[in-house]
Amino acid sequence: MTDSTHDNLSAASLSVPTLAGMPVAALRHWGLVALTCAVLVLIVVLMTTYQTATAETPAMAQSTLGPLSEWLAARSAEDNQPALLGQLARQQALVAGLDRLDPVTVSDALRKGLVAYLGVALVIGIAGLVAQSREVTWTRRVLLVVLLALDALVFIIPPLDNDSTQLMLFVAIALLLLVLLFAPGKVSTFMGAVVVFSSLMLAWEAAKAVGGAVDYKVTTPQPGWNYTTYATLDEMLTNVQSGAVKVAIVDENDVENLIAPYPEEGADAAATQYPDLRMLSDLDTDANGLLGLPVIPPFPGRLVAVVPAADAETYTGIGQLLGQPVGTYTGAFSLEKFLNLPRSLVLLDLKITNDLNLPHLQSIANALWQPARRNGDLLLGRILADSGWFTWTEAAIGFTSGALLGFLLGVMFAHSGLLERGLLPFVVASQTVPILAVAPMVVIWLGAGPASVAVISAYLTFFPVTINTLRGLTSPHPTAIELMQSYAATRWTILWKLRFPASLPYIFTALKVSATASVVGAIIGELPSGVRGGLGGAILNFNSYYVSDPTKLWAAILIAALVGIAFFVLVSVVERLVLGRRVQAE
Amino acid sequence: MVEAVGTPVISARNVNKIFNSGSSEQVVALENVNLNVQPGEFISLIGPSGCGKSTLLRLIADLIEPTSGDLKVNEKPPHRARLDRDYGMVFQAATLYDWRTVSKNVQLPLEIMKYPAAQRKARAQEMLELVELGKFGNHYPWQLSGGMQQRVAIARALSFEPSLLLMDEPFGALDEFTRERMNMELLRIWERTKITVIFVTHSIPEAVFLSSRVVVMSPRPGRITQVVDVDLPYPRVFETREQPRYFQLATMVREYLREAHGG
Repeated sequence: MTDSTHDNLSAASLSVPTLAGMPVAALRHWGLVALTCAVLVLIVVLMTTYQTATAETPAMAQSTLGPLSEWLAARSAEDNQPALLGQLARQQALVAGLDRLDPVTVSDALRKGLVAYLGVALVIGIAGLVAQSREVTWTRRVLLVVLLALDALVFIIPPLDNDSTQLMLFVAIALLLLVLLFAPGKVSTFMGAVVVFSSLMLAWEAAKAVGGAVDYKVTTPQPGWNYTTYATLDEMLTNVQSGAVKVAIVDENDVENLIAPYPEEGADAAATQYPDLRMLSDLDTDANGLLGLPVIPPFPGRLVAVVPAADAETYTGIGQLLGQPVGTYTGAFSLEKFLNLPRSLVLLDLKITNDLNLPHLQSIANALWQPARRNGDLLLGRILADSGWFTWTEAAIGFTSGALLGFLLGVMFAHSGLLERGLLPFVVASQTVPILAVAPMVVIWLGAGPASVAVISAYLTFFPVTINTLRGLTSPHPTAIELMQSYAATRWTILWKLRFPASLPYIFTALKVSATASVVGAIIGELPSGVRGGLGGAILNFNSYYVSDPTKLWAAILIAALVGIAFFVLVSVVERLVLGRRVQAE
Repeated sequence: MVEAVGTPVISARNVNKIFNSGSSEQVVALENVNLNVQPGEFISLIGPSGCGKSTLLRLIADLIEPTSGDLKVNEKPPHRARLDRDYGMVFQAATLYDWRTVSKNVQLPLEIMKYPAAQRKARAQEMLELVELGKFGNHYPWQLSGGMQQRVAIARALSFEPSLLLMDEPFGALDEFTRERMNMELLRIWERTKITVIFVTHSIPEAVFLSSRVVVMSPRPGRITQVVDVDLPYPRVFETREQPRYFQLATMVREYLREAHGG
C-alpha cells in the first residue's frame, strides 16, 4: 500500500504538465504548425486579391505601385531621362513600339510582379512550414525570410477604409512574429533586429488604428462638398437669410444667443437677433459623414447647422444638405481651421495618431516612389538617395579627419600627463558647446561649402575617439608594460606593439559612435553653410511643407537614418576584419 | 651562506630599498640584502607577503632601482643588463597579448630585438616544442588553459636565450595538480638549458622541490634571514617528494619562516 502511494507520487511529479490531456511540447508543436498554416493562408488570400485586382481597384490604385505606374507611363514618353527607372520605362515603350506606355499596362505589369513576389514568399513559407513540422534547426532562418518579404509589403499595400487587405498583412506579420518567438533555431543579431523592426511597424500602425477609433478625423472635402467662406459671422448669417447659401455650419457657442433652436423650447424666436433663422443641433451624421465631410465619430455636440426657419422642419438628417451650398466663416471656426486643424473638432486629442503627426508607413514609402515635384523626372527616393550619398561623403571626410585628430590627441594625452591635464578640460568643454552654436561660426571662418560641413562633422567625431584612444592606450595591465620594459623596448615600440593593439577595441567602439554622429554633424552643418545638395537641405525644405505633406519629411528622416546605419555597419565590418578572432574572445 | 665561486650572475651587497622615502608612508621594503648567485643555480625566494621577495626580483630586473647598496647582474649594473637583454621574465599572470597567436607571442621579444623573420619563426617553434606546445603555435591565448598559457610565457622568456630567468610566482594562480606538473616541466627545461633561475614563491613544497638553494625572507623590514642548501639530487622526480630528506628540508624552511615571522 505504502509502496503504491509512493509510486503514484513519483509518477505524478515526473509527468509532463498537460493541457486538455495534450503534452505541452505537442501543443506547442501543433500550435506553431497551425499558426504557420494561417500565415500561408493569408498570403494566398493576398495573392488572390491582387490576382483579381485591376488598375482601378483601390488596393492597387492607392498602393505605392499605383502612382508609380502613372509616373512610369508619363516618363515613357520622353527621350532624355535622368532617372534609371525612367530610362527603363522609355526602353519598354520603344520595345513595344509605342509612343508612350499606358498607365494601366504598367500597373498590370507591376501587379503581376507583386503576385509573383507573393508566390515566392508562399513557396518559402511552405518550406518554413515543412521545417516547422519537423522541428529542424533552420526553421527560424526560413521563416525570417518570409517575415522580411511581408515587411516589405507594409510599404506597398495601402491602408483603405472598408477594406481588410492591409489588415490581413499585419495579421500575417503578427502571427509570424509569434511563430518566430517559439520556433527552433539560433537567434542572430540580424534576426533580432528584423523582429524588433517588424514589431515596431505593427505598433506604429496599431497606434494609428487605436487612435483612429477614438480620435476625430477630418479629411479634405469630397466633391459633393460645396461651400463658401465669409469674413464674419454676421455676413454669413445674412447670406443664409437671403438664401445665397442653404445652410451654415457653426460652433454652437457662437450662435446660441443669436438664433433660436429648432424645435423651439420656449424661447421666443422673435426676440433673437435673427428671428427667421433656426439652428439644428440634433441632426445626426449619416454614412457619408457631415455633408460628405467625414467626421468620426458622428457629429460632435458643439457643431450646429443654421438654416432659414421656413426650411427647418424639412431637414431630418444632415445628409440632405449634401451637395447644397453651405457657408462657414473665418475666425475661430474658419474654413482653414475647420479643414486643416482637425484639433478644433477633436474631443480627445491623441496627437501621435493623426496623419500629420504619424503618417502611415505606406504613405511614407509612397512618397519615396513618387516624383519630388509634380510630373518631375526624378522620384523623391532617387533625389533623397543622391542627397544621402552627398551628405555621406561630407560625413566620411569629417569622420576620417575627426578620427585622425582624435587618435593623435589620444596618443599625445597618453604619453604626456602635462598635455592631458592641460588640454583635456578644453577638449571636454568643446563638446559642451552646442553644435548649432558652433556651426555658423565655422561657416564664417571657412566659408559656406562642403569644407565647413566636413569640419562641423569632424567636430562631433573626434571627441569619442580621443577619450577612447586615451582609455585604450592606458588599458594594458602594468605587468604587460613591465614585460615590454624587460625587453628594453622603447616607448615607440611599446606604443606600436602593445598600447596601440590593446586600444583597438576601444577605438572601434568610439568609431562606431562617431560614424553615426558624423552623419548628424554633416546634416546640421549643411543648414548654416548653405549647402543644398545634401539631406540637411532636403530636411529644411520638407520641414516647411510639413503641414501639407508630412510624408516627405518622414521619408527624408528615413533616408538620414539609413545613411547613419549604413555607416555604422561599414565601421562594424571593418572592425570585424581588423580585430578578427579577438572579437570572439571578448 | 654559500661564498662566491667564479663570476656570480647576481651579486647584491647591502642593498636597501625604501618606498616613499621621507614621507609618512615610508616603507622599508628591503634592508641590507646580501646575495650571490652562481651560474646554473636554481634559487627560490620564499617568505610571507610583504617580505620584499618580489621587490628584490624587480630590482634585479631593473623595473625599480635600489635606494642604496651595490647590485650587479652579470657583473653589470641592472640597467645595463636589462638593455643587454640578459634576463627573461615570467609573471604570475601569463601576460600574453590576446591579439597575437601563441607563436607570435613567443616571437614578441625577438621582434623587438630585430631578429630576422625566418629565425624568429624557427626559434618560436623550437621554444614551443621545449614547453611541449609545438602544435599550438597558431592558437590564440584564450584557447589555452591557464597552465598552457604559463608555459607559453616561459617559452617567450627563453626565446632569446637569456642567461637568467626571473620568475615572479609563476604558478601561483594554478591549481595544485597543474602546479606540480609545471614544476616537473620547469626542472626539465632548467636541466636542458642550464639557465640560472630566480624563482619567487610562497609555497614551501615548491621551493624545496625545485631549488638548489632556498632563500628565506622575513617582512618589515624585508631581509634575508636564512639560506637553505637543498642537497636533494637532480634529476628530481615525482618520488623526490616522498623522501625523508625532502620532508626534513621542508620542515626546516617552515621553521625558519616561522622564526622570521615571529621575530
